[in-house]
Amino acid sequence: MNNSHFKLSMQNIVKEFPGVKALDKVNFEIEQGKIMALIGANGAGKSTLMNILGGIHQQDTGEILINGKIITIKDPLDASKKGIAFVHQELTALSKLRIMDNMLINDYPTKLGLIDDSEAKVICKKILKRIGSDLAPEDLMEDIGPGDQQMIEIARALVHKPKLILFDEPTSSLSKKEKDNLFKVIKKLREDGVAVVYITHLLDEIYGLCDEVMVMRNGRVVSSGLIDEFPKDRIICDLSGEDGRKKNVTKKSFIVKDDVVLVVEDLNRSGILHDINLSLNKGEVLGIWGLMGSGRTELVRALVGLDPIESGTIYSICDGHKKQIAPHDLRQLVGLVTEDRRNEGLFQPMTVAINLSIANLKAFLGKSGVFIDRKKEKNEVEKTIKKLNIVVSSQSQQVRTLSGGNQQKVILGRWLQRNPELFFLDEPIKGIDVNAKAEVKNIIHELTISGKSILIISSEIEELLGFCDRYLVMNRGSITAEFPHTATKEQLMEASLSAREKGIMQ
Amino acid sequence: MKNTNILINRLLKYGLYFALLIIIVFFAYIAPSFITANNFIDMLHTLAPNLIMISGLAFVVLTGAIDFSVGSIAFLAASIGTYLMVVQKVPLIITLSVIVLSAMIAGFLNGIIVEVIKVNPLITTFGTMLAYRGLGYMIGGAKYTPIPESLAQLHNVKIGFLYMDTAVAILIVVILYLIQYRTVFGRHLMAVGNDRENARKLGVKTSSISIRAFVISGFFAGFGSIFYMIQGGYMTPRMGQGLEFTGIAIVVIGGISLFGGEGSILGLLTGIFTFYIVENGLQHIGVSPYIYPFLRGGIIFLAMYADSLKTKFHSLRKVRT
Repeated sequence: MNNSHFKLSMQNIVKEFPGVKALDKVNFEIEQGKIMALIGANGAGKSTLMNILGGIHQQDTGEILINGKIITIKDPLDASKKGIAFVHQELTALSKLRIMDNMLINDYPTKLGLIDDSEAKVICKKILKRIGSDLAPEDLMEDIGPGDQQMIEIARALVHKPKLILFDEPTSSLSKKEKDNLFKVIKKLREDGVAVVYITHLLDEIYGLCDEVMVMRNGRVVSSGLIDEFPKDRIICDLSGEDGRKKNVTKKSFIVKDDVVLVVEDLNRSGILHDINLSLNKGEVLGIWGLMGSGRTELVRALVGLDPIESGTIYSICDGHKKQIAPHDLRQLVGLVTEDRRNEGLFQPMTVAINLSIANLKAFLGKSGVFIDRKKEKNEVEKTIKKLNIVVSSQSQQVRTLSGGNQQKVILGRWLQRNPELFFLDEPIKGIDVNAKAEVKNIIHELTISGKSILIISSEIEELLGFCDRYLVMNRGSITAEFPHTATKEQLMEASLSAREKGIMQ
Repeated sequence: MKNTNILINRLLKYGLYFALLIIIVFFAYIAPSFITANNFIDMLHTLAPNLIMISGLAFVVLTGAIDFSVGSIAFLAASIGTYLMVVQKVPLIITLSVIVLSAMIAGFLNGIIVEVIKVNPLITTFGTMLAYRGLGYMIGGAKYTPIPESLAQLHNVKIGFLYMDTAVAILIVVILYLIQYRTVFGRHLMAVGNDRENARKLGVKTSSISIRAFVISGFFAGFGSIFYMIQGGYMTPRMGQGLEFTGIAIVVIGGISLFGGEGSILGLLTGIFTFYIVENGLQHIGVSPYIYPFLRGGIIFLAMYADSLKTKFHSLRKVRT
């Protein structure tokens, strides 16, 4: 297979979905031994392009060529036969099966028609070793962490000895260490003569990893070339069009001093959260930073009663009255945006209108007090859509057809209607494009102006910086450090890392 | 905390065996006639046709779908068979082939409606449950028909100390177990039940797998109906009635999750055994038969409850740390 130099190109690819031209005459080329960064905002068409290569979609017109020969890719299986492997952004784990089943689901070695498990184990061990993983093939998928599951996705891609591997935002659920390991693996694949396409939102990742860059916007290729020709600001410029940078938020503080609205004392959940103490001021943006698995999400879940707590007290302070409150009751007072917006936050098959009004239905009741006043609902929904600049074809568009950024805005809009005093936002800007990020931050900013208090979690440290009034650093379920809004990236990083080492030493 | 979790998991896993043991001891204490070898061999004989009829259903449940039509498929296939061998005097071997074949076609139709026309499996098989039974009535009428002696005489054939149907049923379960764990089809079945969307992304032909599961479900429903007729000597209008519910209950009691992708085919044996042992035991202590349906309902409820508990504890254990 090494005799012929592998080269894949796509020419004039057009793909239309109902109502959208996802790809408009896209040209694309990659050859072996190269890592190409594919960059674009959500909805730019990069996933669609890769889905065509991966056999999940078929192009309407245009050609795909491998080494100059026109090919068609019928389905994912066909793609892998032609040497193309796809590592998806969302884990495609079959959680109740073993690691080896997850890797070999289409490639079991058989003996007399029966699966040869011992041979399968050997195959898996070999591949896992190649990517520097010492996981046991017979372990259940659900018993390993998301980082390891991501490694299994890659291991699975390697089963077919692919010549081209597509990575779709593979680091979105990885810790720093796992990320470094992944990059090592990708570079090693390059040395082995594999071509790699690397889709990401995080510009910092591509320098030092990728050889080439291609930037997409609105279904077209904006620019492409060697990475050296693409400094960060050029990419940002290409990504967002002209007006992208104007929307950057400069943060002013709107804290009302000494007006605490929420106090948490000695919150515990064994093995998960330890002695959590925190307070939240009126008009404050409190950033919680920690590495993957530090307990950030678990803290929010515990506060609002989604997970049980073993001890601890929560006080809500309203008009100077300090009142103990149960997590379940706190949930009623909080606008909660969860990390997993696809599953936890949104009703995917339902309309934008229903999703926006669901948390606030009581406000739309008509005179009878039983039936919903559709007109009232419609007006209110229209207002929210306008206010948050949600891009929809109509109120009755299904939420699952929206881009990530717009889905996030729907969730925020839902809570805005209900107008709570507190917002807990878990990864509100994860996986959405540059423009949407700025818009979401603007919305948060406006909330604080009107005296709301925000607790925000983000794994993208740059996004938190300069945006929060105060930072808490979490590690292994404890709050280990606190910084004022002047904190630097290095400070936060160091606090979370050094504490982590301490934890390991114990 | 961790220890209690493990304990709860164990309890949910092995709790059935405990319960079974207690039930057996209880009945044996009250009615000594219950704990005889003969009683157990008879009981295994009685349950064998039903076990065969629902064995394929377990595959459908493993994919996360449901098949309410097994009882009706059995009835329809047997109606066709009875018509052929009793009315038309068609040779036995052809009749038996047609029974099995027609049952497979009925299962295939279920699969096509679910996978191609995309109707929810519950609705689909609920519909075909009525339709297949109706078709059976149209062909054979709602009457008791004695089957030919050449077939009926097989009813007391024994293999070792077991009745033939018991042996066949056990053999089928073992073969299905092999298919589940040692063939690519079996693993794909589990993959579809685990997460259909992910399985599809990984290149598993989910529709094909699901259709094949329905065909297998139909096949065994038809195959089992033959043993049902042999055992009774009659084709009866009530054949397979209620099997759609008891069947699913037995599958679930056996530890095969209604959510799909979890459980072993071998669970069918414990499932059906639990179900029948309670009724058999009650007969031996002479309780009014009117109480059976109530108890059946209770057992089904407990099994479903345990199933949902299992899922709940699993997700608790999975809380990311």
